[in-house]
Amino acid sequence: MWRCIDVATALKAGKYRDLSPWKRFWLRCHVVFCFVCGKYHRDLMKSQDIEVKLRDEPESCCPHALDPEQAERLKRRLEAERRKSKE
Amino acid sequence: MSDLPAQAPDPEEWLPLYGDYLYRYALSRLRDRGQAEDAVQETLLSAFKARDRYDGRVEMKFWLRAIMRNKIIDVLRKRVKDCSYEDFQKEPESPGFLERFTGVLPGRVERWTFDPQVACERSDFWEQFNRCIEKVPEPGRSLFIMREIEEQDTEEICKEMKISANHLWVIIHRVRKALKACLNKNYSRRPEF
Repeated sequence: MWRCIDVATALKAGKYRDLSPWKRFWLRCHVVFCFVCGKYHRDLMKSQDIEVKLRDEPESCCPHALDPEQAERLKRRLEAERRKSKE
Repeated sequence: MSDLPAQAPDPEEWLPLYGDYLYRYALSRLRDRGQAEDAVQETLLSAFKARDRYDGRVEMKFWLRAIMRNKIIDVLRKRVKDCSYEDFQKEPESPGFLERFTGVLPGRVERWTFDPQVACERSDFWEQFNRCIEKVPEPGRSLFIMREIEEQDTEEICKEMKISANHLWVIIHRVRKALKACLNKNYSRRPEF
């Protein structure tokens, strides 16, 4: 059975979603029933849900794509650098 | 002539194919359009110089992303180092009994007014999230991105920034609290659950 400090250590080390299913099961059991750390760690897990999405799918979290002006500027700068490196 | 595996796109095609993806990735971490654009440029140039090392085992997009990740961490590291905030340099009090045995930091836990797991599937949530994270002051924001989003090693960050792991954890806890307070206040949609 996991103790509060085991839950804290696991959540500090990484995201709960990256734990093995078995570890995740014990962690969830603990935070559901623990009246000492349950509320705090459930809250932390909710924050981690957002962080995981931002970590794994940055393209869906950021609405701004390169605008045509930026793309053109980058294209020119890259071409110039490539020419320089070929010379 | 290209030194890339046969299935890899030509470097000339990298910008149209991956430019948007890389820019979004950089912007989601750096929150600065100019720096994000520079990061895309530097990434594509570094990749061009190192193209003979690409072996095709991972998708080109992820190879470029790995190069960009290092550039982003360099920018974030510099931002943190440039900070001279008193708050940042002041070591928090040593952990109390409750914290040492349960990992619970002191302070009231406010409830979420929406379910983050459901909300983070919506684009309007991310618009609000982006506004909220921009309000988080440095160095907290960069440390949060480095540790919690880019998952840089805690020990490495602490060694470089000359702070303790407990101090870093307290900073990240404050950022999470600030983000939550901002989202609770401003993200008005309440999904049905």
